[in-house]
Amino acid sequence: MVSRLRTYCAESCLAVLMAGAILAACLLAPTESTMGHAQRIIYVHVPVAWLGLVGFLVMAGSGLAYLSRRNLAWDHWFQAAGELGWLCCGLTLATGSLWAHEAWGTWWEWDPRLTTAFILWAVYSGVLLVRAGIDDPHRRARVGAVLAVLGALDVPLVVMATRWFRGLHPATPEMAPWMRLTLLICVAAFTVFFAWLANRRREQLELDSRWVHLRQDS
Amino acid sequence: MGTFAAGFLIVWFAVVLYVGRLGRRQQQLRAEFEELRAAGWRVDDQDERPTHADAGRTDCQSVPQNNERPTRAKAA
Repeated sequence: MVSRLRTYCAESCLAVLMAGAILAACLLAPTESTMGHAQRIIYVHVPVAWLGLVGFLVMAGSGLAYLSRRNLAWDHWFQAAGELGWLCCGLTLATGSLWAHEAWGTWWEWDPRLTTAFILWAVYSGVLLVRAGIDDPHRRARVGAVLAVLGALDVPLVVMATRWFRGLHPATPEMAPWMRLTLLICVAAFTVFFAWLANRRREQLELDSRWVHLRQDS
Repeated sequence: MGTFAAGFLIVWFAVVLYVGRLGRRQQQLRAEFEELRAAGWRVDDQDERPTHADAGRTDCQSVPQNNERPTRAKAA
């Protein structure tokens, strides 16, 4: 009863935080002079881009933890972070494409940042597809962990692409204080939401794995 | 505002689809668990009536850990 009440309170706080972030993006943030309201997409695009990168790092970290401890609990974190990270990475490409169409007049450019982000999404897809094709849980975890650790080499490339190579994507644009504050609120809200979803998915995977053992034994 | 609204809707549509998928899997797990529990009750009925402690177990959390080998009483 107490734990259910605690969950209810935590989920209510999360809903309030997300509603606050949406309201801040629509009402608190000032309208940008050049791009107008279209620039507000930054309050969605940057948080999902950040979570796409964090998801991959969590996936690689869980993979390393699995390889050192051989405990499948880490693999559940791996799968949960991988699924959500893949989703966020795909959403980064989709929202970025919308913004590119507005700002540059094209849906896609082979700009270094866009290309490295696309490679990251492809690596995510590859890791998840390879894992989906392996039945043995320990072999699946091992193969996934090795692929994720190798794929994590793309993360610094995505982050530094705008500094190391010349391209269309802006590096770190100057922002008004209210814009920066709104962006921080949105990043924080999306991060908490991502962590909550990842934890729910991890719990489900754990239950799923116990269920498989129970069915095999009965 | 159209670009922002489109981006916002795409993100939430994807989130709703993902959460819906989680919900469906959760329902499926619950149904499978109930099915196994009912089968366990039937086996127990042939043998003896279940104890009060067994009858109190209704949630999915009573499924044993991976490394535990479930006994017939636990599976029920």
